[in-house]
Amino acid sequence: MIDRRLVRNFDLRLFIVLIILCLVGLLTLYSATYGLEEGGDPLYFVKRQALWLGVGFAGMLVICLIDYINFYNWARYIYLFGLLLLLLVLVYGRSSGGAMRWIPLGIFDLQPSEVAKLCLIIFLARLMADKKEGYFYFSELLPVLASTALPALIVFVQPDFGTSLVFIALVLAMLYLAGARPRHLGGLLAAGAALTPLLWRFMEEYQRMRLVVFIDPGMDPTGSGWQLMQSMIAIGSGGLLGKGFMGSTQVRLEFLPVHYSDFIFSVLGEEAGFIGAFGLLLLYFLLIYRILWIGSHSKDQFGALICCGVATMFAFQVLVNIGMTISIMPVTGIPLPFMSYGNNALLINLAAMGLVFNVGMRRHKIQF
Amino acid sequence: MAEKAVFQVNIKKRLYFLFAVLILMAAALVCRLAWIQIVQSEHYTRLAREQWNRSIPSRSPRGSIYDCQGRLLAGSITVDTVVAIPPQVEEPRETAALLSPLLGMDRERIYDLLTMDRSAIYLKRKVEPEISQKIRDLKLPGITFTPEGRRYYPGGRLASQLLGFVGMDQGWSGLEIYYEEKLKGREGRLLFPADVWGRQLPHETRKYVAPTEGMDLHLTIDETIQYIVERELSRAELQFQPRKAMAIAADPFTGAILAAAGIPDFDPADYEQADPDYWPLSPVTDSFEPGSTFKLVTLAAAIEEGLYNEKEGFYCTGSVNIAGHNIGCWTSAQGGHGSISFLEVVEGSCNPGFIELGHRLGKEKLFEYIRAFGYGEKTGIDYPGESGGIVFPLEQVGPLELATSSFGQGVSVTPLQQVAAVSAIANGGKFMRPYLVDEIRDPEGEVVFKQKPTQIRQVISRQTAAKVAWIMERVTQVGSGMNAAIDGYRIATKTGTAQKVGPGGAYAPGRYILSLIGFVPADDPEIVLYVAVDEVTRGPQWGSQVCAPMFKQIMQDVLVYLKIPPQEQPALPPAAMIRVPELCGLSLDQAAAAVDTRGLLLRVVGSGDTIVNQTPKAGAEVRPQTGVIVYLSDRDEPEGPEIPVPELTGFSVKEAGEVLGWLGLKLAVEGTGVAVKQEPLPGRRVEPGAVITITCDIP
Repeated sequence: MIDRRLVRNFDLRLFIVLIILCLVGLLTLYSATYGLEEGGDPLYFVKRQALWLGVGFAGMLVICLIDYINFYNWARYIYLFGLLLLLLVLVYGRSSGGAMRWIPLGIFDLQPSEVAKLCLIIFLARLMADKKEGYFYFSELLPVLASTALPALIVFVQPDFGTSLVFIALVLAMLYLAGARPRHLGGLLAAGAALTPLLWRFMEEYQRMRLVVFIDPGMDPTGSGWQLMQSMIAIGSGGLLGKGFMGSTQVRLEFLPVHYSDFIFSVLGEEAGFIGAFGLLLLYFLLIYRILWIGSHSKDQFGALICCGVATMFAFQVLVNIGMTISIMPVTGIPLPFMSYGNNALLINLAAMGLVFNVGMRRHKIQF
Repeated sequence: MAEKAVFQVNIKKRLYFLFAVLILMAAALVCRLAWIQIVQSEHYTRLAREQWNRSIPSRSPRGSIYDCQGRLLAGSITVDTVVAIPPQVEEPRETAALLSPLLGMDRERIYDLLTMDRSAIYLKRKVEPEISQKIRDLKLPGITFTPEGRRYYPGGRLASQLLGFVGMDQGWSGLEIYYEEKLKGREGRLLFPADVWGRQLPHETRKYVAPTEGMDLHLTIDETIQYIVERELSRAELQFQPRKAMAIAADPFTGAILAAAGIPDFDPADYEQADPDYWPLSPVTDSFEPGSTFKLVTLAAAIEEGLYNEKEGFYCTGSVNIAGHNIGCWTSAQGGHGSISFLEVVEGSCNPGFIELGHRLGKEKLFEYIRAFGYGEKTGIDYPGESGGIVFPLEQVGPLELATSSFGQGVSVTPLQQVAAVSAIANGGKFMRPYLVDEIRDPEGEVVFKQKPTQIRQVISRQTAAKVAWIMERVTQVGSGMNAAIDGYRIATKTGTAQKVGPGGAYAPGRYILSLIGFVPADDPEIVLYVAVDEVTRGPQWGSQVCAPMFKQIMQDVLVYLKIPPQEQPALPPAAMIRVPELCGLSLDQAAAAVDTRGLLLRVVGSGDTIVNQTPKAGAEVRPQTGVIVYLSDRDEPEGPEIPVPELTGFSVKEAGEVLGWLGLKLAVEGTGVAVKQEPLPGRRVEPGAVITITCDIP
């Protein structure tokens, strides 16, 4: 039923890296959450994450089975589906922590901005792949930019500044790979930078505070600055070798807020030290490298661009999330792929991996 | 196909670029991680520990300070400090309401403290025991206590400048700050790990690090001598109304300071009210021109160098010209000392005579001795803020500087330095380092430090020292020190009267520091004493008139206290009767000069330029050290029917009666001793025959 060649071309190395990452994530989550919920199930978080991991891996394998050419064909509908979800959340969303990001679905709350990321990657890949000849003209850029700007704006007003930045990062990387002129991209970046002050006006107070605190951590030592400081203390006090599994005093004494999701890296940094943190970065590096490798060996431009989009999405999220915990990036609500607790991100990331494996399995156009 | 090929090359290149960006990002993260986790790791580890280890400081009782006989000069009692642990306070509103009246604090203020985002906070430091007991009885959650020491001084103001005082947490002046590390002990702590809310963790145990008690100081000071000295300073303050007065006494053989005080002083229990200018111990921290007391250095040097022959003749014209400057003797108004011997040069404190001695020594020798006697550098006494004084550097010494230095002008010295230098004369030529702390004992009473007397150098030979002491004794017998004489004792003294330098650097007219230094007994000294009075505003501006009686009063009581018996040998000449000179028509200054070496004390009443009356009258035969009351008035003051009330504070009942009777006024007395208050106030004009009431007390 399944083509042997497909199985042979399944990228085992990438799969192993992915499995290790997920296990490290699960272990860290265990350490960060075990027994902290008073009176509840001590394994509450770990069990749920493990469950969704299972679902995610199943989904990933299912996606592998569908030839990705189908996604090329469905790209427009996929994009519209993503947009629809984003619009739905605006009218029918559940608010949490000052933002409207979720649509309650009973079993779990759907986070359309996560889904939209993957939808956008597929749609952009098709848009760019359809343009055959070399460089982009400026006019050819416009549909690409417009189709990115629309979901990015909706996400921004949710507000979820971090995720809208992910959209921008991946469109830029994909455009570059697809053959946009560097000066066009440079111009776009410059225009974006010029618009930053305007952005400030549309930001929520807590978002502004995060930026202020990033520049001057002493500004708000009990609010946003507190989070940052506690994260730095956790990572810094971990030292070279770390305090050992379950040894995070910052977590045990509840100094580190949201340690199981956005700040999970701080827990790893404290318990596994520099060696552990470096190891995790190495895993991410291998993951992204392998994704790009698959992209470069893909049989068509659509596959290459999908890999590029997924790699950029991961790279950008890793950079922003870890950078945030060690204070070289402002605080945004971007989770760390495969590490942070959260089912939406996990499912979408694994689905994205499914696409990558898919591209890798079908890399040889004509063989035998 | 060709297009495709171009694209392939293109995409590879661009992939490499993206890959490079990826590596750059990874490198940035790794570098940052290495910085935080390796380089800065210790810093963050400390921050982490600090924030989960909460502690409440528990202060140690401060060490006590005792005098040389073990009498307590400064001690500590333990009182409670009220501490709030905000996370454990259950009802901040109610708690604040209950505590407000007990602590005497605003309810809102307490509420703010109780709800503050802190693990522990002081509500009120060092509360009275009955208050803390009442708070304990309330059993309020989150309110606890930590013991703290509160300083108290049994003697009140006694030795306040010497001891210094203690603020909330540490010594601020005097020995209290100099020996802070020894006295303080080590702070203890109540440690408990806490979570982010400051809640004590249930399974963690509290750890109590007990505070270490401070060590005790045992001083060289004798409380009794200190008391006698301060009593006389207070009396002088009343009588002469000076800007400042100071005294310092030492054991000449060891350098141990027996008493040291200055006025105005302050109350260490109420230090905030005192002028910080009066916090330091002026005999150690103030330096000024010594005047004639400094002549002892020139004298000792000249004797040691064989340049002094007491029988040699000298002619004092009243002034001498040095390098174009005319330097006067204090006798210049009367045309100088005339033809005298070099012994009389010292007895009469003749400036030209000492200039001659300085000239004979030469600048190298004189300044060698000045420095050998310890001038120009700190003695190294264990008291903060000691002044080293100023002595001309040798290369700046010309003939004029040599001349003035030989009689005590142009140098600046501290009373402590003078006591140390004169001690070297008293003890046979050894310069000893002065010190205040004799022993330091740990809380168990074990001696952990014992000060041994330190000889810095031999300044002059034993013979020279004995000779200087003998000449100083003559000063007391026939010279300016007569008013310091005590029957039956051999006393060596030297007076000084130094003009003060005004703001412009020139000598300020009418502003003097009067002083006297001496030791008793002259042949086998037990105690060296220096007294100085700065800017007398009442009475004559002469050391012999102001400081000599103070010296005598102090010494008389000290000799009794130290059980030093009067000497029989050699038989002292029986106190001769003295004829009182005619003082009417003289100015106060002239009168002082006239009585200076006669052993009479001027008591001044009234104000003005000229003496218009005196008692006893001229020609009367009196015993030495008798007071001669002189009445000053402006010559051209219109004679009215009303009489200005004289100032009587500092006068004995007998003296006051004499003065008033003489003015035609009546006296009413309350109490005994010396007049400390009077009614009506001085300067008021009253009808003849009016009653002046004085309130007397023993100062």
